[in-house]
Amino acid sequence: MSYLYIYVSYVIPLCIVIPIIIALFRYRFLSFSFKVLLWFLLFSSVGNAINIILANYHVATTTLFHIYTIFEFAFITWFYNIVFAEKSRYILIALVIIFTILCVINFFFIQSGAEVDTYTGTLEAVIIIGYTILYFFKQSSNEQNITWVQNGLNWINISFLIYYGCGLCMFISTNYLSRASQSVNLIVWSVFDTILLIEYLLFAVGFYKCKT
Amino acid sequence: MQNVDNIYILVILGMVGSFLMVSSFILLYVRNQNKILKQRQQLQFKEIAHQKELLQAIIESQEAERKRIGQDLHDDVGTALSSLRLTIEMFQPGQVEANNDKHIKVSKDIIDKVIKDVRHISHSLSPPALSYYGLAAAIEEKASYINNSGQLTINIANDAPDAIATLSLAVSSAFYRVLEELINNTIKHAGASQANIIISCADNILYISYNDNGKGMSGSLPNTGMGMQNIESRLAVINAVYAVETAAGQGFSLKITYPLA
Repeated sequence: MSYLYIYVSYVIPLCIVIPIIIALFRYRFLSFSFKVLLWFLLFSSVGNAINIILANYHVATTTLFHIYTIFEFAFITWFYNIVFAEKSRYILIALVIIFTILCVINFFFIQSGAEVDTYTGTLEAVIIIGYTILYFFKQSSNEQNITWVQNGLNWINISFLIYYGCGLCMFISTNYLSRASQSVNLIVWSVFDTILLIEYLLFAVGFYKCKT
Repeated sequence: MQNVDNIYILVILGMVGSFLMVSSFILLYVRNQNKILKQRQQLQFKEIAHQKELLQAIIESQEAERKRIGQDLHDDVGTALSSLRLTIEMFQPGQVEANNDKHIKVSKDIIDKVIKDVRHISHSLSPPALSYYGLAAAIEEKASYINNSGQLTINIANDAPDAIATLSLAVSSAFYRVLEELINNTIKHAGASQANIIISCADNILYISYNDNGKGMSGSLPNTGMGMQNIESRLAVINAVYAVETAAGQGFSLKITYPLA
């Protein structure tokens, strides 16, 4: 087992505990939006664990990605729904319903369980990038009395922007990767997982700053 | 296979490139936000400092007013009463009728002086004309008093008597004090022979212009002077604004704009 394999398969998935520990440590200060994010991380950590276990038994986990994408999008939309707290609430709920229907259609008719859901995964990334930009737009319209770094939500927002903005290429090309050699796969995934690690660390900072 | 591998290099480069772009965007955004916050905080600090200056000016002007009243009471009323006491003490009823009459006349004169001084002090504290007859009458009374003293000739042109009549006592008092302050400044510092007060009204806005033919001021207006700060704070309270025009040797002019509705 190479170092890269350990890094990609075990180290990065385990790093999800960093923001979870910080969130639990600061639990009494967490607002509802941060709690939703914590539930999302707990859900992701369970997903990671199932993925590692099944992969060790050489069971294909691509079907899991299809299910995971639906819940991931629902959690993140729920998070932004609370953060925006405006008329957009119903639009976002409608978006989750439409996205779920698209995921089901994609699973049964376009990309079967043998493939990763690159279409819906990419669409999800594009919508979440839209949320982050909308957040920046709303943030710049409001008068701030604290510095940017003091606001925990800002850290969470940039973590989403970095992860989904930088990972967009990866979401598009995941199915191509399955055709490449394991070494090439490891290199590409290690770059992507480093971005995921940055996301986890930024989440941790966001949870730490949640009090403001 | 070669083509497939090339795509992966591009994917990695795409991710790294996107990371750089996103990071740059975030850094620039954060920098900009912090800059805006800093500017706003500086503005708030300046505003608070200015408010403090105005408050200080009000407190100091109150103190100066108290001092002036105290001095007037001591110098005029106190002296007159002491003089009256001495006169009464010296009075010895005698046989000569003329002496008795003289004492009575001196005492009456002193009492008249005390009455006059007390009236003067009380008028300067709160001009009765202002509450009984309004701002126009109070200004005219003040102008008449100054004109009679020979210190300055004040001309008044009131083209908005109806608008002036509708002003509340608080607003009238503020305008009266401002004009009083301007007249005092003209007498003390301008060396002017003439001052004009023009009151007009257009589009529901009241304009009060004051100008003198004194030596004026070069450069910007000294905002540190107690008088100007008094004027500013009084006008700010009633939501009136003012503009000053002055230059060395070209007199001093101040125009007040007050929305009536």
